[in-house]
Amino acid sequence: MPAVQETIEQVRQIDVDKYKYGFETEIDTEYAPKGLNADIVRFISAKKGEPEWLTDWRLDALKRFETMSPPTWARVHYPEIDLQELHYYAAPKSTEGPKSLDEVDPELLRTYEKLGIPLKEQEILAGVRKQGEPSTLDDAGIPDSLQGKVAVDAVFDSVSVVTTFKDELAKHGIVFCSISEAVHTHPELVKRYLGSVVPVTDNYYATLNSAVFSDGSFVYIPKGVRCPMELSTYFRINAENTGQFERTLIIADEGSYVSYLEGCTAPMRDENQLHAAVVELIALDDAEIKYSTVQNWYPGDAEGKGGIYNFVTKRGDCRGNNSKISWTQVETGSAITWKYPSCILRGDNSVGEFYSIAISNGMQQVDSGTKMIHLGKNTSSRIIAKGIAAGKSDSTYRGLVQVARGAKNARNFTQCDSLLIGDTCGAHTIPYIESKNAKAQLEHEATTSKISDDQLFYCLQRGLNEEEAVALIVNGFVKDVLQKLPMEFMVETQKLIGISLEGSVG
Amino acid sequence: MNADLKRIRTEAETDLLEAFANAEDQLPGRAETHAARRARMALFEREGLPHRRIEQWKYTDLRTLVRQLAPLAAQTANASAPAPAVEGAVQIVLVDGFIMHHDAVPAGVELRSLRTALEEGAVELEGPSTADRAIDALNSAFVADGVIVSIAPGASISTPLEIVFLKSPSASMSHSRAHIIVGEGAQATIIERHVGGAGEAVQSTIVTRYAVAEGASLDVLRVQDDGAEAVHLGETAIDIAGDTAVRLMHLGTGAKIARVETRATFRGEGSRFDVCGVTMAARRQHLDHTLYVDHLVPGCESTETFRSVIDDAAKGIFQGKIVVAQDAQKTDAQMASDALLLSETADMVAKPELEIFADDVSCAHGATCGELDDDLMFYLLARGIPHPQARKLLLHAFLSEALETFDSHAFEDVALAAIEAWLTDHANADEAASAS
Repeated sequence: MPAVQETIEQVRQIDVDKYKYGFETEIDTEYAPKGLNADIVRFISAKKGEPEWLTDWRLDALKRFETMSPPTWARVHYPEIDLQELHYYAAPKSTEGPKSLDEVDPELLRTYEKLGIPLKEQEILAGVRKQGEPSTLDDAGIPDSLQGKVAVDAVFDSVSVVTTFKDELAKHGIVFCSISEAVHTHPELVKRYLGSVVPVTDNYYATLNSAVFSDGSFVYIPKGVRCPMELSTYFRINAENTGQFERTLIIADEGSYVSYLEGCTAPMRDENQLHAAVVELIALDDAEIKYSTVQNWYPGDAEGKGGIYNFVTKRGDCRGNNSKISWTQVETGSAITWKYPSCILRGDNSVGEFYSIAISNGMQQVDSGTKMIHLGKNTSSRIIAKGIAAGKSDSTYRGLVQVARGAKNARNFTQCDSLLIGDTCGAHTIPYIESKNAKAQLEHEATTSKISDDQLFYCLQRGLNEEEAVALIVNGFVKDVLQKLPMEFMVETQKLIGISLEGSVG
Repeated sequence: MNADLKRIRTEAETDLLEAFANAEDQLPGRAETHAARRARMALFEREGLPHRRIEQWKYTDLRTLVRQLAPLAAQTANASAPAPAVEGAVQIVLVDGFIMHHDAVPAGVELRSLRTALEEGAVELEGPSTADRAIDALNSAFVADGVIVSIAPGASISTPLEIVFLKSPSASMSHSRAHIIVGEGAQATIIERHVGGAGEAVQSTIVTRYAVAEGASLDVLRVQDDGAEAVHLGETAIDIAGDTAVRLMHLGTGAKIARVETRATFRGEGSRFDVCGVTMAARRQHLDHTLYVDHLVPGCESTETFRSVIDDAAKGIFQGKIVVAQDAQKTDAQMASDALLLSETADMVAKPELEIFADDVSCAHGATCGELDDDLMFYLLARGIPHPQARKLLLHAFLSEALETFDSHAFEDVALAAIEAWLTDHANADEAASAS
């Protein structure tokens, strides 16, 4: 009986540990010496064989960073991070720059296999759908042979270990590689766009990232091309006492389309690890970028020991007219999350979207939201944020909607709902609504509630146990956002929601 | 690693410290009071005036808005108070913070001078000395006089008590304070009138503190109608005991720069607080209304309804924060802020916050910002109503909707008259502008 088998499997998965990606890979790792200074920056730059302009760019960022102090406005609390005690570069010894799949250390491949990330080409993400089955996605214009494929850039600590489907993408003129590689192969694009959305001195952690960023993905979609498959990056922190500072740059040229996924995990450790990434998206005229994140860094144990500090700057620039950037995020991991994926709606008629589910349990702290900066005429944005807090966690939505004087007919709709499970957690909503244009129409609504006893009773009465019932109700609560996720992520996410809420009832 | 940047004091900040040093000897109070005053002043010595880096002052940066400080006002003997806002109200008139005169008060009401109370040590200026309480800190440091109004337990006072905070028409800085104590089971109606200053650059802090005891019922109307060049920093703090009902209506049209803080704290179960506000800003006015509602105990309800109309190059700010403590189960709090921008250069900022630590609550807030609905306008024009009247009609309807939660006719009449007067003024201004 398949159902029984499935149940056993699920129970076993849960029984082993709540955080199933907490293992550590035994692999020889090369570190940069601990500490942050100009020599370390030069070391990283030299490791990657970067041109002089980039080394200077990093050094300049470091110089500016030294005059900055950590932000304190967010609703999160953590001891001061000793930046001199971190390794700013850690790479598996066997990997000297990106190479073909056959040459990748088998240990690394096994790691990704364990994480459920297929690095072998032609393979389909486990548990989603079998090849040949009809897809519910909008596949218009994509040849059958390519459907269901996902190209993956795998980033392990500070380096990208492999990027799949490169050749196939190259046929369409799409560049998908690690940023270190792009610096060599497409220096003109990198030089033109790097730091153009998130300026070097944007904020404390973005400046730190600019100085010491290690690796990340680079995507360029040429004019008029609709990217035939989902692109994805999988980030894995493995080494101890390291910080991960990745940098992602995605450029969608006129009339192009790309859907990009990002996933992250880390081993279970007692110490806190820092992850300070910068993601920059650029959409030119009529282009569309869809960026989805499933963030599942190690959240620390029930007492709040260990876990990742996830301090991320993500920003998209709708630079062209009629462009569109859509952020979808599912945040379940990290001890502390501090991120505000934003859209600068510069082009006329551009559209920004933000769909978010943030789930916190244990001692997790989340301060996340978005910024929608309306600069162009007839720009519109939509924000749907769902926060769920359980255990002793704190979940804050912080969002800015800003309409500049010239943004005639700008339109925004914001909805944030919070759900509290238990009476030791907190849910907060802090929206900032700033309008300088009378023609702009802004709407905001927020609610906070708990799971209603009626709903729970109804489910229990139908034979579900309390945890299943909560998972079901929560899934219903976040449905609006889940529907915006690519198919590949949906199944995984629904399971994730069940797992991160375990133990929150009773 | 972090460069310690030394703050540079602005002229106004230097003047403020100097004004305090000069005035301190003349300020009433015993040694403890003076120590409290100095502790409050230390905040300004350390931090200066509140600025945009302080979250609660993000949109009202006093460092840049108040460049120059006016000299401290002296006590004046004669000034003429306006007629009562509500007919038959008993007036208590404070000029630049000093009690000038008061009408005979009804039985059950007792008035005391704050000055005397401070000198006798009957009242202390306790309170936190933090940047988010800058208005209270500034007021406590300088306050020289004021009034304490006590309503006897069980007294039902049908006559409204109107406290007039009058500013004399000369560029000066004043600090006014009133403490209102409503006894158990008492009923009272208080009107705060903030007026005067003519066209002079008057700067004032006004703190009103209400302590509402169990089973009491209190209605407050606050009319902020200061002169066109005034800087108005006001704080109304209300402590609400169990089983009480407090209602507050705020009308904000005056001053060049106004920051009004309303702080309501629930201290007993089963109470209710309803606040509604109407802000009308024009010219280059900067009107900020900041609201805090702290639900510290279970089973209380609050509603917050605010409407703003912003014209010309004015700026409207609404910050509202509802806090629900972990114990405050069964809280019901609903906050709404709606704004209409009437010109190309008008600004509106809304920051409605929820901070919730209890799970069995129902809290919501909504905020909108836009312009007058074209369809509604078209409908009225199509029925032959001329443009200025149609506009006035729609604005009137929009603003008066905020008052609907409030069924006090006396207050509503005052509010509707204020709305009417403002709209008439501005309709005329618009017509003159379009004619030229």
